Amino acid sequence: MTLNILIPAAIGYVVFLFVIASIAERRAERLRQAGRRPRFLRSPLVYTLSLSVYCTAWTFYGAVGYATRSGLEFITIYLGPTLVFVGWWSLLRKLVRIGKAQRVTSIADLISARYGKSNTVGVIVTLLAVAATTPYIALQLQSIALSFGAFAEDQSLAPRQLAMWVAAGLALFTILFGTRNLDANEQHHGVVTAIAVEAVVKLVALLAVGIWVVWGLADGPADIMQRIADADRPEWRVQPSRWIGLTFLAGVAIITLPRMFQVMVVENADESHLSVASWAFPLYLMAISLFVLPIAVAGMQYLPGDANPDLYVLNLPRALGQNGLAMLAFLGGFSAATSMVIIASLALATMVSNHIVVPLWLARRRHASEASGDIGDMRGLVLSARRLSIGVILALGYLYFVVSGGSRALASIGLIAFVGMAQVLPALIGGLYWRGASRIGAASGMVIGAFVWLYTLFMPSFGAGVLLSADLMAFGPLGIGWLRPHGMFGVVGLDPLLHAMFFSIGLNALVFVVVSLFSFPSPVERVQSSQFVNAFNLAKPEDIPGARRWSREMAENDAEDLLAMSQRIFGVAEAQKFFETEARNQGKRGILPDATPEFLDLLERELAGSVGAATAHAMITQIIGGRLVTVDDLMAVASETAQIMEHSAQLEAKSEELARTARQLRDANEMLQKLSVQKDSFLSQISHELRTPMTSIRAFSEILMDEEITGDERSRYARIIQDESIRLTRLLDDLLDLSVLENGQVNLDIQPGNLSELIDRALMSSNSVQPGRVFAIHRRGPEEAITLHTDTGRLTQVFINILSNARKYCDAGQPQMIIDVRRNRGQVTVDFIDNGSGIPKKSQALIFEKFARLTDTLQAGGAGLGLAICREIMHNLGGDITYVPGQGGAAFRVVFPVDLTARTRAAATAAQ
Amino acid sequence: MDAARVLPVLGFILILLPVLWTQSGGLGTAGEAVYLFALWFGLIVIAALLSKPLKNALHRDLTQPRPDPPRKPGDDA
Repeated sequence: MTLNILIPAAIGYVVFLFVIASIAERRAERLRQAGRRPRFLRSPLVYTLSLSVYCTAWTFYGAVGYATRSGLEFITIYLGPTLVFVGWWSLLRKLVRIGKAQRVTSIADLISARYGKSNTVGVIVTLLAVAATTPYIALQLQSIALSFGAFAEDQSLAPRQLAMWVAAGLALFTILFGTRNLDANEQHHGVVTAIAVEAVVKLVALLAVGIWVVWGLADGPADIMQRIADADRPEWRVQPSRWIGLTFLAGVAIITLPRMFQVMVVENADESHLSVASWAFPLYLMAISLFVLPIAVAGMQYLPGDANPDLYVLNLPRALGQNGLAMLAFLGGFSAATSMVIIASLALATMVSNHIVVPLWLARRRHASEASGDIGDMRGLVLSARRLSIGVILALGYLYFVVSGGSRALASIGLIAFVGMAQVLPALIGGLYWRGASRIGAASGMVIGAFVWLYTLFMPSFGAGVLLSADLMAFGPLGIGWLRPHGMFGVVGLDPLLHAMFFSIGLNALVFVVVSLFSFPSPVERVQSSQFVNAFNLAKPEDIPGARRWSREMAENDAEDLLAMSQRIFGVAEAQKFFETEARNQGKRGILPDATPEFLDLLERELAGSVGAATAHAMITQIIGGRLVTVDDLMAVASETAQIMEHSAQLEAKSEELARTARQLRDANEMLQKLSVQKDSFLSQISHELRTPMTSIRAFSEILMDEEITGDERSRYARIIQDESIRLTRLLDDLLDLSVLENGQVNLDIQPGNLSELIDRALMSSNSVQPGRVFAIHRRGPEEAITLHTDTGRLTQVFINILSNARKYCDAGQPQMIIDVRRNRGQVTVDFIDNGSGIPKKSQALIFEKFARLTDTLQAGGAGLGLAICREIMHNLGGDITYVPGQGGAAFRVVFPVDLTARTRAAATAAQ
Repeated sequence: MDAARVLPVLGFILILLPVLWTQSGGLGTAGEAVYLFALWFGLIVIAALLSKPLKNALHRDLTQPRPDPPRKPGDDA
């Protein structure tokens, strides 16, 4: 097999990818126009497969080489990501959630957005990513050059030239499918689908070689295990520090590598895909590393000792005459390399254009056309910037490949890149979980870490004498041994990789934390930090009260400028549609909405999806004139919130008061209704009362008019008439008395008297009521001897009324009456307690009302005015009469002052 | 939820076991490879079993509204 077949095969494969990508792109476009989401293109399966861009040529070729050199250590590169994915729900989910909420376009964008949309931070991350990814891309180019070279041992082939053509081809592919449009979501259906297909190709290829080795060359698993045991070398023993360090490093890399961030966060269509990827991606990793060790052992056995172990996958089938398998392996390696280069250059180009090219251009334009305010065609600019960046990045990778000589082990190059990107870790994790993390802290930490990485790992990786002189490597700069690249602070003898990792990340984290503790974050930073740290507590970032990043005072004409700017980025139709929708949401006609803080936030987020948070922020700031939120604005928002809270507390208190009043009104209403019913019944009763004597008076007076009655009869009838008239008069007197008492117009006859005598008199008078009943009276002699100064006649009337009622209503077999007198300073309390069944609870509130009667019958013989009159009398005497429940019978308490003066009386009247 | 919390930590500890074996002579590369792949597969299976209920639980957390503040007596008007 020669290059004559190989090169067409490679080109054919690339064409195949082009076709797949463009089909996917077209399909997505068609579905989008039909208003549907591309379901299959954005399924969990495609998501998981696209994640496999983690497995590059390093995995495909390098893992076997790694295993040949260091045994099982290669597996740590896949165990670290497995652990991260198994714990997806904490870190990865948060990343994806924030990525979606903030419309993040790259890892640099995420970190710059977190630290107050600072472009400085974005630039640092971008430069770091470019520096770290360049060797990684070089690794892919090297692997492709190597694999071509393996097939063309007998032909003269310049690997550099070949790598250049590959780089150019990949640049073309990435530009075609990665920068086709400036999407607000920055998602690339075509590229992702192509990557997913490539994931299948590389897995199938490696599995095919592995299965052929285990069941073709060896006699199944048991035999291959035996061969592995036989091939065991001393250098295969697990080195504890490297084992732990590399597992950690790989776990970090899966989060921080720009291409992983691109497929995992930016291209993520649905957060729930993560839950599938949490086990499916580790499964993919396991499948791809399953046959690494068997292939390595077989390579050691069947291939000459000087063969490059990085090419065992390819050379093993080729040397043993399996040309078809060799071809498949070549394509697998090719796809592994190309997928990485495509995604990495795409991710880096986004960062470079958003954080370096566009801000630079904006700054230049600002000086050039301050007056006109025209900012030109941004869409074309951003896309050209990306295309250019892709070219530059691939050129850099090619340059690294040329300078480093393309001769080193693949795995060691990859690890250099890992450590470089790991410098982002402290700022990233700190930003997600620590609100105190500040912009200056993050920037200085990353700068320090990056320099330590460059000095201790990146530059020495070219070999002594290329970038760093051999003298410096051996003895340190200016002979300072403590600063030797591989022996910082006198730590000598540690593995260079671990040494660099420890010092770069350690110093980075230390500086980050210390500077953060001593710096003061800006208002925008505070708002952003709360949105990042509390990402899970909010359904949408707009929901946080006071999370505005723009102040309130906005001029009307700003919206027009904003539209002009947005049109240059979204395109005219898209931008106008967006503005119109927002205007409608605000309840306005036309297409220009008010430039409210909420609208600015929304617009900024949309723009951020295209050009990154920092640039979007800078552009809006430029137009509306830097009216960023200030501390005062935050304070205003806070006090607004406080006012609202206070207001709602007041409302609550008011509503409680209203509820109380309503209850009182309801009670009063019930009382009124009861009284109205009673009044009706009283009226009919009083009519009856009045009619009964009137009827007999009329009847007897008619008889008297008859001449035929005797004188004896005449006088008897006349007496009856008189009795009835007296009864009538008494009734009318009572009514009159009550109305006089009620109006407070009564003339009191105040004179001295002894309470004991008053009670005696009352008892005597009441004896006439139902004289047949005998009451046992219990009195307390000495206390009763109180000299009163009041209207004794009225007071006696009250006593008589109570005692008469008791005689009438007490239903006990042997009725008793306790009269209990107490004196408390100027007040006298007289309790009348009988041993009957008392007054039912529901009637207790009514007995003192006028016309109240407990029974409907006429047994009482009164009109229900007795107690009402008593109460009015007692009020007029400056006291009160109450019913005391729970005394074993009906109990009335009469309270009145010993000495009724004008003053106490006035006070008592006023109290009513 | 708690099982999901423990899983990565448990996995990390178990992955470190070969380090300890190396200190004490070790199983040899073949034995360690078998152990690691078995462990790996176990982690994947557990993660797969947990992923569905976990997803549902997290989704519930997100969509369920926060409980209203307790009503005060007297609000019935």
